[in-house]
Amino acid sequence: MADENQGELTARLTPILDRYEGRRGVLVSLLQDVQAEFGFLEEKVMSTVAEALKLPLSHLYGVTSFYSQFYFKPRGKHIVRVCTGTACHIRGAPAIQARLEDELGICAGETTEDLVFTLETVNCVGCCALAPVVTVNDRVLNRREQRKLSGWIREQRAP
Amino acid sequence: MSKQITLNIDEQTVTVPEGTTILEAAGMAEIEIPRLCYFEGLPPSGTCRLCLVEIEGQERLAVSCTQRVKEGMVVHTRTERVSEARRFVLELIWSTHPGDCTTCEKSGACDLQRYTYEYDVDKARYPMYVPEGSPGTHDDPLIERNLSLCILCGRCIRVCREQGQGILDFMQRGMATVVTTSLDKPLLESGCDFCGSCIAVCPVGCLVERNRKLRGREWELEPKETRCGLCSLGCDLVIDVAHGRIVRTRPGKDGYLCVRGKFGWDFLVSEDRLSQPLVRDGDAFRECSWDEALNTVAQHLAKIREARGPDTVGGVIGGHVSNEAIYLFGKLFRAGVGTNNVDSAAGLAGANVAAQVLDAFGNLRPLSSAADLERAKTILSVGPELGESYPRARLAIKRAVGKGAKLIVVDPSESELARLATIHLKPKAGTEVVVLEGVIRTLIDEGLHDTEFLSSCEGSSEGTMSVGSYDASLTGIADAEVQEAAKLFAKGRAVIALSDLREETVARALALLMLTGRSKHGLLALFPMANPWGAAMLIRGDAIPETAGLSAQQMLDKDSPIAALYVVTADPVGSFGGKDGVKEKLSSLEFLVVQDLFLTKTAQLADVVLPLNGFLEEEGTVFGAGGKLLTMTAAAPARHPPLWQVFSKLSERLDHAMGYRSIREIRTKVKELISEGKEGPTYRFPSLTDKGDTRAKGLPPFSRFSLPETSWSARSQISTLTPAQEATLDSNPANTEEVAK
Ligand code: SF4
Ligand code: SF4
Ligand code: FES
Ligand code: FES
Repeated sequence: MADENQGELTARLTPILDRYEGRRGVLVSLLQDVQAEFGFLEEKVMSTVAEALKLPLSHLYGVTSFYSQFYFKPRGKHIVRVCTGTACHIRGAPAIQARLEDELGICAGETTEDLVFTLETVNCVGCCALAPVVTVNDRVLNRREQRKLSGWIREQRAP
Repeated sequence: MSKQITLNIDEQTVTVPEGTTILEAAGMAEIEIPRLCYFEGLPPSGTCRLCLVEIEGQERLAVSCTQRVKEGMVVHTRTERVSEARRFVLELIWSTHPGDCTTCEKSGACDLQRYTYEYDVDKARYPMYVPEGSPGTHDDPLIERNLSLCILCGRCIRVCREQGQGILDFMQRGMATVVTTSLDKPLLESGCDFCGSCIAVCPVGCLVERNRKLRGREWELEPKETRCGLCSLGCDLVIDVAHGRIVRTRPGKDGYLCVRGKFGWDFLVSEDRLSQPLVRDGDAFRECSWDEALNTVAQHLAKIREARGPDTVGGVIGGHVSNEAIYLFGKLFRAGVGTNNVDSAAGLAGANVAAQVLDAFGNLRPLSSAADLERAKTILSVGPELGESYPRARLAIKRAVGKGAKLIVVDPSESELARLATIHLKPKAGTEVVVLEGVIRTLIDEGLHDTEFLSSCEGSSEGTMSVGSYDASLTGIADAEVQEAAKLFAKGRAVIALSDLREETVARALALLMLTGRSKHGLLALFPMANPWGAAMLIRGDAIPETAGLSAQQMLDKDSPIAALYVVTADPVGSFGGKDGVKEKLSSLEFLVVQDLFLTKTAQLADVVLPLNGFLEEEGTVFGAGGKLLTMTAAAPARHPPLWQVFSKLSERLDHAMGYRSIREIRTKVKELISEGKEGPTYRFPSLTDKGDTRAKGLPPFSRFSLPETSWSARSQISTLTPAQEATLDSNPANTEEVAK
């Protein structure tokens, strides 16, 4: 990604930009598509989009940093989320978070260096009955799966 | 005229044009509605809610900075309900504001402080809330950002978009919202060009000038209006002085200062400035009184004149000083010494624009100001990174383009203006002249030239004005592109903005104006000095001696007859060092006097060094970019006798009393001289034969002009500059304020 030259980058952006050409009020959707294409919003990509749209780069960052769905750093293949909502907090979320941080060697909000895992916290997933809740790639893990989580993490990491 | 609307505000009948907002309408009736996010001249955002007012028949309070007036509207701006609402807004802001008013630089001029006082806001009503990981002070040069003081009014964001680089926005959301750059990077890495516009609009102490710190409180400041003297545009500027020291500068009526006007005057308060006259004592200097210094200078000049004749004495003066000083300097040599060897230093840098303009047009009417540039319909910009070097010109061009002007940029680099251009002609470096000739060629070939105007110009017969056919292989720009540019240039009110001041380039720019019959306000030549035109207009005024004088360049030639030289605010050694044996010539002089702010490289060779007042410290007139006479007031306290007195005293000691008792008397004389030169225009088509070897010759040192090194009292602050930034901020060889190491 970092080595990708401007030409390739433009080639990947052009179809997206064309899709939204001349339409207004579509900035967020456009950037969602850009993120889908590149995985995250790298600075180089953002400045190319800003230039193409003739908007200040700061404006693009202003819009995207408003939403939690946009990422400015590469993300892992698997997204592990620990719910820290009230119900989950009471039922032991902090301990789960601490254990996962330990096992993955990163803090919540970070991605492992091998780009396999991203660990995040969320505020209430909406299934408090199952608290404490952990999700992997947007799927809520049941009790059994939760117990197997550590083993699964090790598996994913093995080359 | 637009439709008028009549409404009632606080029992007053007010009539305003349709489209006016309630807040503005109230302002016209001198009713001030409190505001935090609104700032006159910026688009309103309606976010702070402090400007709430009550409108009869409308249940909810109205946001007066965005709501427009309606016929018959009845508005109340000071009811109890309104006050309660405003107090609530203020309490919320106050609950996240550190409130360290005792040490805050903005104290006394802070809008939040003022309103919390006026609305008697109780600090304790909401517990102080400092969000986790609150943003603190950012480590930027020149501009201090104390983000914990930010009240999120967004003024800085809007002003930066309008006249800065558009690098700020609200980032994050909710309690975490901050106003900062993309990815919260330092300003230096975000494309900030340090115009300080954001400081000027910030209502609180969040954004402040680093260099003003601890120099004085807001209520101690004495504002004075004058003009910036750091480039030929001469922007309006307000300086605030406290305890006899400059605290800061602010934009004047124009509402904008570039980094130079905003921060670049700092060299004036530098510790390294000369404080006393110096006389040579063997290898070193010794401080002396003004009397002793002037006596020494006069004695030596008289002695050399006696022994070798008056034409071995000469004077060179920079474009940083007033018309009055330039005129008296000329007079000191012509009448006092008896020689015509007196010249402006501008020519030393390879720029003779003023002389060329006068030669072609006979007066300064073809000159354009920044305001003319803003009104132009067609703009031709010539010079590398003109916008980066002259941000005020860039702003004018941006505004003109915003209003639909067509922009042709001749610049070998991908500069900011190039990105705005309708046509960007990107020649190989040094071949700008060839491009301009291509444009001239097209104008003639396509019959786009103004034959009527040309017939009134001397030397405009086809033979002399024609240029060879355009050679695309030299420049790398296709014929078609040049032709398109020429057709564009031929139309509308045009201004040529020039920072490439090589003689050949200027000649072609002048030819373009003449070819298209544009004799007024068509040329904005940009110099890094206040008064380049004054030097050309006045230095040779009312010549007395018979023999023609030498030019600055000739005087500095190693074989010139000059034995004694007086150099005022110019640093030929620092600027052109080893070139052409300038240093050898200056070292071999029998007597050298240098008058400057600092002990420059040239001053180090001198026998007598005289200190000088800076541009904010001495009054006088200058010719503005548009050729008009502008007044500079002495805004900061003078440190030394003014130049006119120094020159008068020297002349007196050379047995020629000038008899001026005040600078006003000199001004009257200067005005006379200028109006004498104003008889009917005589046009002379510039010669296009001399191309020089443009590629080898390079640009005059101030084509890409930057700040004098000494303007950064805290040099270490900017040691983290990127190379590009260094290039803009670094010492400028053509500026004389450079301190010798
Ligand atoms: S100094 Fe000028 S360019 Fe920099 S952030 Fe402030 S307004 Fe923007
Ligand atoms: S920094 Fe100042 S001007 Fe900018 S949003 Fe904050 S308070 Fe307003
Ligand atoms: S608190 Fe965790 S799912 Fe609601
Ligand atoms: S001044 Fe009107 S909302 Fe801020």
